[in-house]
Amino acid sequence: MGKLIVTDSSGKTSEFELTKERVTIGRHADNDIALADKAVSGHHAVVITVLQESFLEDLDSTNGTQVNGKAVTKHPLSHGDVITIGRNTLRYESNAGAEDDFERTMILKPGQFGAAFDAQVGKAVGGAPSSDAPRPPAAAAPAAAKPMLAKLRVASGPNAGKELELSKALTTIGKPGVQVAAVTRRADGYYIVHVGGDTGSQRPLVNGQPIDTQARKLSHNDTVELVGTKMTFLMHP
Amino acid sequence: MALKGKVATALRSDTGRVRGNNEDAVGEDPDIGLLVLADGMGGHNAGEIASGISVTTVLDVVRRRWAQLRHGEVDADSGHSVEALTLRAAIEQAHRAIHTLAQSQPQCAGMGTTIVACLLHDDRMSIAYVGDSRLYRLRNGKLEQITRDHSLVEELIARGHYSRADAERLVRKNIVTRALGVEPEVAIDLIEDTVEVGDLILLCSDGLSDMVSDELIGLTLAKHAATLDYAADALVTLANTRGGKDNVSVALARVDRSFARGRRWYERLIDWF
Repeated sequence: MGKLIVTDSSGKTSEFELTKERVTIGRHADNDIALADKAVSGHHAVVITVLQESFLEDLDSTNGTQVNGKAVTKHPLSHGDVITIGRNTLRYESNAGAEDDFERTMILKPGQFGAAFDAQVGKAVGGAPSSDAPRPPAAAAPAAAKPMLAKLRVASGPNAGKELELSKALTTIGKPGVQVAAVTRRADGYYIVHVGGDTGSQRPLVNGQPIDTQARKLSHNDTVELVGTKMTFLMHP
Repeated sequence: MALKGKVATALRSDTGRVRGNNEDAVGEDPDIGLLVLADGMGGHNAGEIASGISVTTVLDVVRRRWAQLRHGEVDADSGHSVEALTLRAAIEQAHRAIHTLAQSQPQCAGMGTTIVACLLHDDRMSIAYVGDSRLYRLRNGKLEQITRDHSLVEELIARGHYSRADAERLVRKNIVTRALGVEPEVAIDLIEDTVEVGDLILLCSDGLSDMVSDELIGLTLAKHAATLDYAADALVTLANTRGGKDNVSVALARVDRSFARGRRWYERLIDWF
């Protein structure tokens, strides 16, 4: 986790540890780093810290944000970067000190993520009903990571209302020889894929569109049409 | 179940143009239909040790358990096939072996490895992976990345901070969020998917995917699909001509004939409707 050494327009310095995932910078008092300077926008910029890496983002400020003298909108922070906002400077210091070998693969250890990260993990594992919701992040313990659950509910025909729990990692649906699809569960959600090569034009439809060769991600309330039967894809709350 | 004559494979591992040693490892068991690829990290030769142990252990554990497996069964709790669970158990065993060695040998302290393993069975594939080594599938000329890296890039996208385009442009690609052997516990992701005749499956280390675009990987595979050895060489050459900054490894499998147990599995389905 890095920190910012803030030097304001009067020359006064203070330190700010980047312990939160989002640290806001601006003129208003509700910012984490409030800068009393008319050249600073109310909500001027934000520093996002994920694991031990920090990223600076300008929030469409009036006078812009500079790093080492260059205007930036989004910028990954490196040790020693000097951010200029109005008449204030903020120097970024990473806890790792000077940058190490850029090409080598590095591992970020879950143990170092801190409380903010754990809270984030808890939130994500709780799971929003939309499949666009963040997947359970990397550090979720294997035992705690309960698989997501979803189901298909038949929306038309004599079986309307009937439900199929998608409790398997790979579920196949349809009529063999006519049209078959497979629904697979991946880390970030459920995907549907056509099975059986190119059997004519009979590809399953999702929201009225035939699915491609590639797996298509399913979202909550998507309509899946297979062998003339309409089904609704539902994520469990 | 022998996959000889049904699935063709080609494996390559190359040091690249910059590194002094190759910390990647690849391996296969063509009879079972198992491909394993690992990208090790750690000082001295520790990266090589970690990736080497992981590949050897996974091959060994799956081979030993294969004959006793109740093939075709699905675990009710997890929804996974017994084959996928075997793959996960094998990777867990590799993880423990690496972690133990890293704890006991000072020169191995902090070593770790990514891993991606693919088990082909009954016209399906079970995939298990940790880190940023990937599995792609080429079907009808289109390349699809099946695994999702455990990396800082993906973490920022998943949390909604960055679009994929911004993250890939701005965020360092070489930061992984999970690896075998580093922490006492490791979370292994499992994916199960279908396999069709004509499919080409690619496992690769980031030495390929960081150097060569997905588009170019897809075009190269499509062009040389008929001669897998040539396709594998072409991918390694592409990574090296684009800088070869990292070790580059690829494991390719092409499905030439159905390898379903008995009838094709989807023809045995009972109509759900």
